[in-house]
Amino acid sequence: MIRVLMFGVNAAFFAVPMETVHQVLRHPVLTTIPLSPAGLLGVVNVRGEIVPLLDTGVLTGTGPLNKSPFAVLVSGQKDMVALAAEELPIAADFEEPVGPGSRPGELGVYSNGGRLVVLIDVDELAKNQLEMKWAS
Amino acid sequence: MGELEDEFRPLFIEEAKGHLERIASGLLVLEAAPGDQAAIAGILREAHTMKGAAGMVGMMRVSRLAHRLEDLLVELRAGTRRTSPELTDSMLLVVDGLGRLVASAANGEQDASDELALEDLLPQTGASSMAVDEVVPLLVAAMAQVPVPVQAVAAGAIAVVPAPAAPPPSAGPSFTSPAPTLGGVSPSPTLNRPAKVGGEHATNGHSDKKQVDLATLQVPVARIDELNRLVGEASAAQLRVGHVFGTELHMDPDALTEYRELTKVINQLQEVTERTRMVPVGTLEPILHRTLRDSARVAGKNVRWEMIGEDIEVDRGVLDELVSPLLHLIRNSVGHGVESPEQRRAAGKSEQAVVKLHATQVGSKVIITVSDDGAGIDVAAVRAVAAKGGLDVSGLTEEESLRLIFRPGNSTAKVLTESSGRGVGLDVVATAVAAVHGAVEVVNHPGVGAEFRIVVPITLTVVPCLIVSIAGQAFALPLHRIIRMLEAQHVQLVSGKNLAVIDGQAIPVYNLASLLGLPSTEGGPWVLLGTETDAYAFQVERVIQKRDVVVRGLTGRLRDLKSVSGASIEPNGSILLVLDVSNLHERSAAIFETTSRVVDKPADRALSVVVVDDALMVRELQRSILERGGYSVRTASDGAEALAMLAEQPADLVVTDLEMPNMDGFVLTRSIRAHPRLANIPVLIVTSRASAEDHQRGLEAGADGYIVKTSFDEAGLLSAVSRLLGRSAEKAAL
Repeated sequence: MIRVLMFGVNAAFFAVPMETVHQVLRHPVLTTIPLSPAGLLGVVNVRGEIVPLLDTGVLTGTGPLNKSPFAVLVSGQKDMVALAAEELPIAADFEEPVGPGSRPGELGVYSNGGRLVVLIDVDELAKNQLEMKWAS
Repeated sequence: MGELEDEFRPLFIEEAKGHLERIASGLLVLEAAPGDQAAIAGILREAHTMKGAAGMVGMMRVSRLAHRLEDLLVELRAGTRRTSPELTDSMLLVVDGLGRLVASAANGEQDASDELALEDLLPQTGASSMAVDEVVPLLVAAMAQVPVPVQAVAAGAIAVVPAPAAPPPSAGPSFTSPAPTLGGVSPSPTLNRPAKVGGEHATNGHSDKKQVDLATLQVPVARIDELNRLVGEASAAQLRVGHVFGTELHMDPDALTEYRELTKVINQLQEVTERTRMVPVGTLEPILHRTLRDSARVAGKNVRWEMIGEDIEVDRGVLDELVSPLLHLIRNSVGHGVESPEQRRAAGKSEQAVVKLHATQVGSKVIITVSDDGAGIDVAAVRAVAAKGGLDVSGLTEEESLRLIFRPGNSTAKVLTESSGRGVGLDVVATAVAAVHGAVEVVNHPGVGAEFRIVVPITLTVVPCLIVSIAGQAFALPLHRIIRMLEAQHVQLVSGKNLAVIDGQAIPVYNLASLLGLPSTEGGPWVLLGTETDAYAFQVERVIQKRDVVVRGLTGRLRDLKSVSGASIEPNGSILLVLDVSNLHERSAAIFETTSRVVDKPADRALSVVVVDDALMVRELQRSILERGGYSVRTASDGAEALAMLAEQPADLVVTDLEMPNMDGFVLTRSIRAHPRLANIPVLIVTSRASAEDHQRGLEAGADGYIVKTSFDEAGLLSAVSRLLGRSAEKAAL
């Protein structure tokens, strides 16, 4: 069993392992960065730390998000990142996956309350979806 | 290995680095003053202590090599062996090897050392030293693997924090270790101050050491950084409290004695913690001196090292960044500045040349000069190489010509490369120094010598900035890059070009908002940046104020962002971005070149279209269709690039995709509509998004047409474009 935090992005559902989650920010105050690469909505101040807020729409390949009323603060391998979420994220326990992920960074597909949720590895997804464009 | 050995080995490893560094420094002192008994005694003591301690923790190979060094030193002390450059080479190489042995032990690696080879380096006691031709090739090989000191500054490195009353001659680590990260506790070569051995700097053995222990404390750098960060937070939190007093309680917080006291204490705390980041320039002495010595040996030149101003203190971060440029300048002085002994004799100079490093503090800046008494720089040759590389050097003054040596990609580097075999030019030095907000200058005295002068701020944490507003957002521009500010009416724009005449000089100008891909407004003040000879101006929305900004570097993924060089947390909790002025300059230079070419072309009667799409294939397809239709086409890969392009030179029509990095089609359309000069340009959206909602959003953003890619064909695109341009012509006629 794995404890996760689920959040909705563009009508799809994704989850991150709870052990990586620091907190959920409500209405994060976003500072946008000019000429920043796709996938970076901007930066937020989390208790004095400047943390990147990633566009989970771009990250998950479901299309860019325009708003981020919530942000899930997770620790990655290198640094802390905030993930944009459209609705209040909720905690859940996952049992066995119902299917494998379809690309690197997707750890597996789980069924929860009748909907399919993709468990993601933020670092791996960011590496594949964002890093190439990061230096643009 | 026994339990005691286990327990004490890390301690020994830590100490060994200090022993090795002091042995290396001592050997250099001894080389300069052969027979200096105090120096010999100092090195001997270090080798002896190391031998014993290594044996106690079971590091027998280290112990044996230290013993061999000790034997040789005993002979030197007794006068039965004489110092020679070859012997110094051998002993230094053995010290380097010992550093490797200790480092591999610290990393828990199997000892893959070259102990036997190391032993062979040292002459047998009682026998003569190795010959020059045996040692110098080894030295050349060793120099090739000299660690890059900047990388040596590991996150876990240890700083020596001097007690305020007694500055820090302390147990320093070995810069000779090629494996700088010793299990996260490695002291950096640039951080610790070596205790000098021998000569007038001789330490007095244990009594001095005891004093040092009382006066200094080794603290992991990460902890000091954390302390600095927390004090910064405390200060920001205190300012926020003050802010709340004002906004919520309508009180002036400074009217409260307690608040004023808190401010005072926090300010003092900030000053003190900032000082903990400061290290003396002298900490670099061992590596600089050793590099000079080895370079001179390899080049067959006789060069003496001098250093003045070792006690001048600079922020650790700044000093770390200066290691590479200083090493470069020293190698450069030895390789190109200093003549061979024969040439010097012929020129009536002393055979021994001098390379000198001089550090001084002027206000909030530190000036570090590297000078030599060599032949100076051949400016004519520099000009010739630059001219060969396609640069127009005809109008350049002597001083401007000299500065060509810092130009990136300038083939002047070849002049250096051909004679030295090194592939990098002085542009590397200029770039590294600019990264710590510094500048490098050169003063040339033909036939007499050259002087490179590096000017850097003492600290990077507090940067005086100009705060400007761009598209409603505040940004900071470091003041040291700003020449001055100009009101809009004093800037006379050259029609149709990104040029303005300022003080009789044509200077490239840009709207900063456009350059940053933000909606721009016209008519704001101008900020003149760069240098007197290479200036450029940016128009901003308005200037807010000048003030000090506590800048923190961006970390993790944010480090790779090009447009910003740092950020600051403001008293109200918001984030203020510090723009990277060098990057702005590069971007604008690229645009300037592109648009100059376009503008300089004879006027094209064809209607112009800007095609915006992040997919190269789509862009080129649309370009080819439109060009066949008789339009002049420019392309951009995202909204930001398109907006900058349009601000430089408007078009008759924009064809844009919706989903793009940096700035999508909706924002681009809205920005065009908000731009006073561009507002009337028709926008045609060509997208794969077929939903009615997107269609509606596009039109609401101000688009004039909407084509879904799946349904678009050549005729469809051309017909939509001509329809929109026709309508536009009607609009223009109204």
